[in-house]
Amino acid sequence: MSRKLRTVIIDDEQDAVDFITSIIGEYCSSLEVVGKANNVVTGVAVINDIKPDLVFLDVEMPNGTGFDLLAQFPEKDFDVVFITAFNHYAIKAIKFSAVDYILKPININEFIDAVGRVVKKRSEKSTQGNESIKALMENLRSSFPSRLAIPTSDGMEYLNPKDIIRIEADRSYSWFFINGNRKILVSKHLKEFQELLSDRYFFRPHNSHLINLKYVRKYIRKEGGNIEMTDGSLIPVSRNRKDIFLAHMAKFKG
Amino acid sequence: MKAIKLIIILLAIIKVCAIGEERPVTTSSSIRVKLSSERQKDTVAINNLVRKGSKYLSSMQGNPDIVKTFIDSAVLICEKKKIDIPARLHLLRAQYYFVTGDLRSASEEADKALMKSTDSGEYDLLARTNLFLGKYYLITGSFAESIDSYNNAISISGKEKIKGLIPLAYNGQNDVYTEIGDLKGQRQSLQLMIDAAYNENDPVSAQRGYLRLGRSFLGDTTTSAGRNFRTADSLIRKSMEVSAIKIDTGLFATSLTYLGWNFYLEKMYDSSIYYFEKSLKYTLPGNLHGISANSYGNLGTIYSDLRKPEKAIGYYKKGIEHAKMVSDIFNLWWIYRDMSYMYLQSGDTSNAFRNYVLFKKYSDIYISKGNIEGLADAKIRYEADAHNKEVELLSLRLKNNRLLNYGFAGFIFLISFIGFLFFRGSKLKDKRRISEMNRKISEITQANLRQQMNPHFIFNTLNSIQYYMYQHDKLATNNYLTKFSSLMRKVLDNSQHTSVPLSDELSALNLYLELESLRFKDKFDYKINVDEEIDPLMHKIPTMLIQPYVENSICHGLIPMDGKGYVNIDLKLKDEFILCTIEDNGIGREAAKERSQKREGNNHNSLGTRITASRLDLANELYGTSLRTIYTDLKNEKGEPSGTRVEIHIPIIL
Repeated sequence: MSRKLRTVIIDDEQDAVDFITSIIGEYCSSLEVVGKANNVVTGVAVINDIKPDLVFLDVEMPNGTGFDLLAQFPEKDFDVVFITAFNHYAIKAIKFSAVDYILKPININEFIDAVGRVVKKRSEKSTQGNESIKALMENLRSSFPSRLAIPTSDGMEYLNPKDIIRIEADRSYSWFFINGNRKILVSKHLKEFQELLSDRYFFRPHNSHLINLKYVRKYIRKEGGNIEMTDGSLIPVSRNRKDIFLAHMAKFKG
Repeated sequence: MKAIKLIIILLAIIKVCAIGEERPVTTSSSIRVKLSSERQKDTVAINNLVRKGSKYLSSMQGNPDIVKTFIDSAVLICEKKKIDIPARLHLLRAQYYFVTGDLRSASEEADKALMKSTDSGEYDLLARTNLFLGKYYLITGSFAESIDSYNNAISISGKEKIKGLIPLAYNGQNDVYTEIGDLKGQRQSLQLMIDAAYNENDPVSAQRGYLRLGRSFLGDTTTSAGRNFRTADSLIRKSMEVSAIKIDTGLFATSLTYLGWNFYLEKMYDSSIYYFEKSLKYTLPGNLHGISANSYGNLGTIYSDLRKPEKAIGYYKKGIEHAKMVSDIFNLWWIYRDMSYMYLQSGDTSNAFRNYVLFKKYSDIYISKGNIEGLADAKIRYEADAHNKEVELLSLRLKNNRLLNYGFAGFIFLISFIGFLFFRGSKLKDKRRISEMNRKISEITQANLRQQMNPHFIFNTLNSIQYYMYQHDKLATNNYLTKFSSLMRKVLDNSQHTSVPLSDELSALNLYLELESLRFKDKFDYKINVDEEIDPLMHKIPTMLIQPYVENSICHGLIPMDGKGYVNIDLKLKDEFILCTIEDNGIGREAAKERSQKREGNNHNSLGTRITASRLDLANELYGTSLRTIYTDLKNEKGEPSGTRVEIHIPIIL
């Protein structure tokens, strides 16, 4: 075990700061709390002063959000775990950008897990990097997040969901077929992407396929039903999903 | 009195007769004169009674029984003096029956009023009767007829230059379009109402017209259909300009609250506050508590949005105070809701709960009020339908007779005309059905939310959390508390939609089961099994359908039994629905019923499943399916009860 991760806690509620401090003291021996703040202004000062490894950051604070704070560190070199009380629009953006977050009230086990992930990443020397936070900032700007983080063999890649033609399951891996004849293998289950994308123009006509409705060329009724995509691929439609697919297609506009 | 009158008349006749022996010719004519003046006096008396009766009815104070006495005396005079019941009396009777809910008699009386006023050429009455029929048809759901009646009232008033009715008729048409959700029609009729009001120099109607037209551009959210900030603002201001001519404080203050609301939706809080406060300046001295409550409540919400909770609470409290003075359920309902939301946001869960419970209480009252009205509505519609069918049959017979006379050409014309009418009628009927259903859906979802957040469950869970705290078991306390908050979050999320992906429904159910099994340690095991064919993220089902059945299994089947039980939930995909089987090995329905009867004398506990059953009915109506719930009482080899199986056919929503 190398040195402890120097940790800063920023939350407008002192109770929350104290609670996180005591959980860290009791359960997370790999962390050391070195700074605390209750708002964006002192938070920025504390970070500049201490140069921490890890920041627990509340999203909603009076006089500026956690995102406002991050915007002041374009070249940041610390990891961030967001803490938020509400499952609102920001969560979607955070999930899309693959940044860690914890919901309030804090479940101690989940907290320990999140700390474990940070410690593991640090030990692998792959810091969160600024890219994920940049993607997050961009995703926050629109109600439809535009940059989906996918872990590839050499780090993170950020894709606009619009460019994804389809995703195909390959056991616990997923193949991404991207506009422009590109193909990426991702070590994540198809279901995880379905969770993020299914309220958009994505549909799962078959257990191993998630398709972008934008790229559907036509529906072929023969042989139990197939979907022809614009890249020429044929996607089977499960018998029991045909009606739902047709209903989705009917609702889908451009 | 009457006897004395009679004696005087008799004496007079005897006297006239006595004189009449000398001048027989003049006497008979003088008697005739006397009789006709008597008749005039009776008519005046009848008219007076009718006028008083209408006045009582329109002021809507007191009970309609007073009106009944006026009507009865007027009818008595008519019968005694053998005067044919005049049109205006028929109309009053129609209005009286309408208020007391006897719609069949109301429509009969209105028909008579229509006939007699046409015969006697009393166009004023004819127009008024049409106006009444417009209202009658709206209530009975015959929207096309309602519009026609109002149009009749307008054209008669226009032709005969009758003042005061045309704006009312357009206002009535606006009500019809509002009911069927036709925004364009709504606005058109309001514009016509305003024009007519100007023509007739009727500022109050113009003011009301502008206000309602402005309201139609307001919406309840920024994304409401037809919302237009600027148009709403300028129309409401016009309404206020007009009211400066003739002051109606209530309308003026309402305009100010609308302006405030309009700015609030645009998040222009300063202006919004200004207008709500200004409205209060008018409503407080005038004791217009309902409008004051609304302004105070809205000010509270603005300050809550501005994150000034102390100020917000002050305003909310004042709002509640005023609303309580006039038992304004609607305002109480949403103020408590907003207050609970504010506390929840600031993390003050105990106050959030307290207010949530109050919000639910008032929303229940509000909803049950609606339900009672809905029930009356349904009855009215049924009666009206039966009546309409009779009329239809008769008119078809009439048309058949004519058919022979007019021959084939007439037949073709008739068929196409009837076809057109049916087409128009069915379109309106569909709209009516849809708006009716939407109302029902939101009602039942709300009722179901209340069921889901069963107070027993909430407070018992909190009690268990307290127990762990007292035991100094930090991890268990934390685990319990966060599970509970996740469940609340899920339920609040899910309840905002009428349908959710199965995965959301199942994760709420899972949390519920986890909490219950934590609470009743080692009392039961549970398992949720989802068929591989089901894609929980894609298959959508109506919100919160399964949980009440599971709660029933646990509370009435498993908890009372000795030893450890189980509840298994199994979901299978069928062709048109998802078959959800909930099976427990509890004490069975018979024993559970006996227990609850012993305890409470009635089985109010089945409320949850009753609501769910009514939601299934609704889904059947909506999607044309025939889904149902099947209960099976399980028996062991010895024939003793050994649990319950419930199979629910859950519709898949496309």
